[in-house]
Amino acid sequence: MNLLSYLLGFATNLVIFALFSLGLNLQFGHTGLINFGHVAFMGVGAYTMVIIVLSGAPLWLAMLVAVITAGAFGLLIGLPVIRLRDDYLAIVTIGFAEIIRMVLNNESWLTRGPQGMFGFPVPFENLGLSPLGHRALFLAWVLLTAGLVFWLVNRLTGSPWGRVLKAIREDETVASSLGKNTVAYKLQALVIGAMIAGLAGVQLALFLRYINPRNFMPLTTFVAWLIMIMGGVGRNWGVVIGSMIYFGLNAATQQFMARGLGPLTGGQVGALRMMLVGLILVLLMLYRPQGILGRKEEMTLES
Amino acid sequence: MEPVLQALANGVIIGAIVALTAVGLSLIYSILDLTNFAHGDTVTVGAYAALAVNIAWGVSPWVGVLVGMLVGAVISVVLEVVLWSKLRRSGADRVTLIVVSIGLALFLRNLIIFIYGTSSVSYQVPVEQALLLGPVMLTPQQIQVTAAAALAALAVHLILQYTTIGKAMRALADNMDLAWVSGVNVDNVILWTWVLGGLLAAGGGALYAFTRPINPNLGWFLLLPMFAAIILGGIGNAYGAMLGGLLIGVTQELSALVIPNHYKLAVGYAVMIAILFLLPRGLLGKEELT
Amino acid sequence: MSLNGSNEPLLQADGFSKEFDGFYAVRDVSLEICPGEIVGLIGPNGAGKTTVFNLLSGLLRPSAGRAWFSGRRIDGLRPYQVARLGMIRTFQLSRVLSRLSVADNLHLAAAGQGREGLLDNLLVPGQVRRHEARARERATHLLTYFGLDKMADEYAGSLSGGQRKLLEMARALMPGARMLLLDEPMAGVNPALKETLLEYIADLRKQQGLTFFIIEHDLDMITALCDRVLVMAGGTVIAAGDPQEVKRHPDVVDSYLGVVS
Repeated sequence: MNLLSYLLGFATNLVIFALFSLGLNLQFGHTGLINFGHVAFMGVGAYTMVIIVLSGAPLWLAMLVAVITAGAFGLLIGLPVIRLRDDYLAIVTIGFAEIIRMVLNNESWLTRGPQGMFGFPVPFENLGLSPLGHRALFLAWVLLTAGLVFWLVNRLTGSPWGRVLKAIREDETVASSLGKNTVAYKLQALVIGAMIAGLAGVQLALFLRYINPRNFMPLTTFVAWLIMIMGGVGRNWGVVIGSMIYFGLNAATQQFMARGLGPLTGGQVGALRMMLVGLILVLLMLYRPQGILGRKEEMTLES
Repeated sequence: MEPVLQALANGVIIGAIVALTAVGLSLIYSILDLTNFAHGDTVTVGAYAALAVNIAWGVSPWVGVLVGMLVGAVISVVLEVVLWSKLRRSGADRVTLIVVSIGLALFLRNLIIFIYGTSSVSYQVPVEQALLLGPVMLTPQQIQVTAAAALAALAVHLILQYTTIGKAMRALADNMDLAWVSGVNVDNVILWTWVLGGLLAAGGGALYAFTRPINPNLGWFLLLPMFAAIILGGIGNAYGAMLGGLLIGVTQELSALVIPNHYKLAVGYAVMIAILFLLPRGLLGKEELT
Repeated sequence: MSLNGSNEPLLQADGFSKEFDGFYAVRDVSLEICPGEIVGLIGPNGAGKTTVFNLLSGLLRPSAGRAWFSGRRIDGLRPYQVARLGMIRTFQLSRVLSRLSVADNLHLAAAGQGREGLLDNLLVPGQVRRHEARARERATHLLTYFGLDKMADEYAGSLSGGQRKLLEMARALMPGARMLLLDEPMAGVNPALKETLLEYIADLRKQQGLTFFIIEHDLDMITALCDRVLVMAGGTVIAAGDPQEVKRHPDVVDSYLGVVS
């Protein structure tokens, strides 16, 4: 695979992940909802699209249904706990992600289990383009859709609706005392964030052309958390910066994953990488919770 | 062998372990308002510490259990001194603490993977024959594990009811402000709570290692049943955590009679959701202002 | 009796009680407040005054008792529902939204909750903008009145304690309120500003017929402003009447243990 092809693929993966993290940012960064199972929405989006398109439906319809289904799941897991404290949502979302993973792995009649799913149509494949051309066009497609979503989210978060979300994040009791139906707003943020993750899942599936349950492990959720915090919680463009940093470092150390580094095996390098993710998360919260784009004053204000 | 009773017996065994490990989680939650997602990895650390001494030095796994408990306690205390107390002093909010605990969890888990790899390990002990005790089949080890867990539960009860520090723990868990005002040395109690939680979590992990081969994800997968146990039993109540643990363990094992085995975890989850919907304060908990 | 002559109470509570595990924070409290009245609520700390506010505004569910606002049952309603009916409250320890600007804090309190809905902001941004502009006018007017206009775009969290109190008051006064529950509005406010606030409240009552229910420790303020005073101690109402009468009531003197001037 030549360099240009690699770079195109790298950029595509980056944009997809930035989109994924944007959904999380809407839920947590803007509204204060703790979602530790975000990857499940991505998985639902990806698998729903593939299952539907493999059953013969047109691609655009499959994509639409996939995104809506992801949103529906957001509503489903949010409803029981949205009135309770935020840590309950954290616990419930972890469980939800685990269950989705179990279903993906075990319900082979639907998901083909650990084998995964492939052989589904992807956009632009009938245009007779070279593999490189196809990659470039696909990147353009991903950029366009992601850009659209970013624009929409930006508009919403800067609007009075977004202001209510921020108020809820700051002090839900006050928001409620001012007449806001906070449950409705929280569910809206949860569902929209889930739909965005679902779209990211759809794009991922179309990009990889092959999905299996191992694409949707808890790790993905926590990388998104890292990206979100690094870039700046509540800053929409922060996820782009965070993505670039994370995947840049990732790519730089990728080779050591396969070949090992000095006395360390590939597996150990992988573990070391995850240790770093955890460590950086802790250090960020200790020393720079506002991330890169955030403002320090926001973190030191007394509430 | 009677399948229902067998499932019940298995449920009690796993339930006892969940019960023990959940106590620490519950106490920390109510005293420090900290949902510690790294608690599961303390369990894993205990298990691996026990296995390490058993495999490397050939000592009895029960010695390993004690070593594991010690390691668990030490790590918990170190983290409290180095990390948690710092965060509390700087006024970190609940969400910050949660994110930190997730980062910590990732770190600990992968540290274990780094050292020991991802494949499953077991104690090096002679294989034991399962005994037929009436309608159920149990290995002597399983009986010992349950007995140990029961003993530990008794110890917890005695500590909470009859020692000064234990009573202070209960007071703080119940109502932090009131206890503080009445002159309880809060920092001291917090420290001992971490010790107790660490001992129990790590001990639970080491005991668990008797029941099946374990891997570094042990604690992470136990985390959900632990949370379910606490929510079922009632927030802020150590006895609730123990009761919840037993019930979750039994429910999970019994459910395996009717649903596919790999969905056992989902049962704990379903119970948790049901409780949150129907009786959010749990079986033994108090009314909580949302 | 109220200014517009109507005898229909705006706020009514009947047998309100709140119990926590056997301890009664509030026991059997009943009250009636008519439109345009300014009623004070005094009593020692721990008497249950803020709890009554919490019960009325929906933050707490009563263990017993019922309440009506403008003829509608409000016990058991959620806080946002009570607020939408027009009963707005402030908090004893002022709760401003720190990481939002001062102006935003006020915008959030503007009436017309409909302009914050998801669909509105997606589909009719023009209308939303117009509503925002109107709210901005009102907000600026209030900020100027309270001397906070220069801080309009600063984080609310950077305000001093006294300024936060004022912001909280301003927030409660954005349009849409019919009755205000003020929890110690004067605490931490400098004396000159207190006078202004007193006038402002009296003004609002006269010109807009706003009704006030005020918890206060400042007895001078209570005497100057309130038509009626309720006195609470130990969770129940121990005296009620006009301020002068109440000051002399033996139970009140007892419960204050000489704090009453």
